[in-house]
Amino acid sequence: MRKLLLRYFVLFSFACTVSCTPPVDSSPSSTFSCGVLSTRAENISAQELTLKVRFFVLEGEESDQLTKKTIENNLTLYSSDVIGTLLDNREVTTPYSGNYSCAILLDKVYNIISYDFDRKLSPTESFLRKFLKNQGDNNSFLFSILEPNPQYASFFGKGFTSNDAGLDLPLARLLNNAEKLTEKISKLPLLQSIDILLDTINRSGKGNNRNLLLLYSRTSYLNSGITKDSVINKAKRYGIKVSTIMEKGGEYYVDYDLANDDLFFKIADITGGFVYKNNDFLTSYFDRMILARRLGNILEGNFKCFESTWKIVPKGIWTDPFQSGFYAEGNLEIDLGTQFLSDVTELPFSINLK
Amino acid sequence: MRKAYIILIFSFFGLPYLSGQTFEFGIQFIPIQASMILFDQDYIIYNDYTSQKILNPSFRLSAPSLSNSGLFLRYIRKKVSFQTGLNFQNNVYFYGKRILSDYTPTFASLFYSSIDIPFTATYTFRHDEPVKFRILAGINNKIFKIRRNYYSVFSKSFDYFNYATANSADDEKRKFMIDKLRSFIVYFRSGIGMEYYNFTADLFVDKNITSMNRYIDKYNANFKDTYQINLALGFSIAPKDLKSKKYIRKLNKE
Repeated sequence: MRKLLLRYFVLFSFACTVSCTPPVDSSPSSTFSCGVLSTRAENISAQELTLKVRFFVLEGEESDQLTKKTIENNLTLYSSDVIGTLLDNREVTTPYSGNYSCAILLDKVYNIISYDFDRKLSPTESFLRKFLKNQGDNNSFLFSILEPNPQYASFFGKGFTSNDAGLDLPLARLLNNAEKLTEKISKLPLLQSIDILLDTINRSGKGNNRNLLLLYSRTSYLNSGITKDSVINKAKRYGIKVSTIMEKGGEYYVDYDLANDDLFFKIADITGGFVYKNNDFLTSYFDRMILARRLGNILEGNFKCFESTWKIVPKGIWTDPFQSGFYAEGNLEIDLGTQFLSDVTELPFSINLK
Repeated sequence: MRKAYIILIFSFFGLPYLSGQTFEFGIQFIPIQASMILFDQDYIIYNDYTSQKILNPSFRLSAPSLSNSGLFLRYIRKKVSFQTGLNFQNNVYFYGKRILSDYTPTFASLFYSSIDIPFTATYTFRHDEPVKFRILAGINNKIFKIRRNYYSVFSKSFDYFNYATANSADDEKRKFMIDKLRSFIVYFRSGIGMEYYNFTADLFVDKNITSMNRYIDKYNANFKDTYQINLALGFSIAPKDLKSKKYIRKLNKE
């Protein structure tokens, strides 16, 4: 009996013996999230202007910002149209605007990058959920979805709400079913959707700090009876900051119109919003998750960022380029890598002097 | 309630021995398991900000591992017998489908190990024949929750072949699910079985009768019910006609 028990114990122990390989962590050890908050042209003369680019650099989950010196030494400006010389780079704090109400316009086909290959929209879902969880109780949200004609935009929930947990399940349902909905969407009436949302925010938004956040990355149908300028003017009139978070590149790469870029940059400049654009599809998921944690802070204000001042001259021989109407695009490039590994982040900006 | 349970466990183990009645002792192995889990919502929201669509409920087969085994003690009174035991049980519930980076579909699973202490009553048909058939009913107490890679190495053995595809994100999700699970759940057990000399084979269904949730989140999916069909193969080490030494000595004297 005792032997049998002993035998059984040995057999049992043998069956339970396993290897103890630790799990592999697939996330990068260090990553940065950078974005442009605003671009402003000053002291415009015929052949020269001063450009002030306000941008943020967020580092990982632990610390938020890098030192000013690190940024300054690794900052360069690239553009095919202009040459920029760095005059100054300083730390600034954005003005405090108080609790915010934020309407978020989702494109049902938003995502381009499918990091975990699970569902095409999971990065967007994670981003939004993290953003919701990291905001204060006094801020409110409204989710809306870009729709084809004639609806233009649909809403879920009953207007603006502060209950982020209540949005969890509707968000999961929406974004998990998005794949089916992509078939009928090729070009969506973005301008009409923005127009409807601006009216909605104006009517039911809480407080004075009102925002519209566009999570958008698709080709849109812009020539549809409503002009960009009328939308921008309406946003300005209502005092609504319009910001855009977009992505480019990735496996499910869908290019977007340059015309959209123009709209997004212009509306952000005029209304006081920002544009976040990530061209690096390998790191964009992690970068956006870092941004999600601080996005509420950006919207609320009192946010520490950097402002670099550049002397800009046009490339080539132009006749009064800056006074006769001028549009240029470029990137601020920051190398945040170590001495062994380069990690260049591009911050797109535009100069629009029309 | 817990004290009553402890008294019941001791009485179940102790009484047959103390009374010197017929009892049987053996080992048990569960090679095949089919399980199903139900939730009260259609999506689970994990704390890493992702979500998982829950599959339509259906039984899914798994072959947990060799470590799905234990000991049993049976108290026999002719046609009726009472059985208890101590089993190391791997619980596998598949609830979602995921696509990995190489486009291979895999299942999101609630995968944990527990110690099972069942109390069942068995009625045997043809109890004088070598091949006996029986029906059983009772309760099963699942205690502890042992997570792969975290609390113990025990439960990892059966997931060895899937381990290459597991990563830390999966591990976080699994931890979230297991943290939500209670560590003491009572199941109702019913089933059929057969016996051939020292060998037994039982097929039984376990369904929870107490709540599985440690907490209820009204904005997230909560566990509702689980069903587990197990095929248990047993081998009694001490045959049932073996009496206690004291009893045999008494017989010899007579």
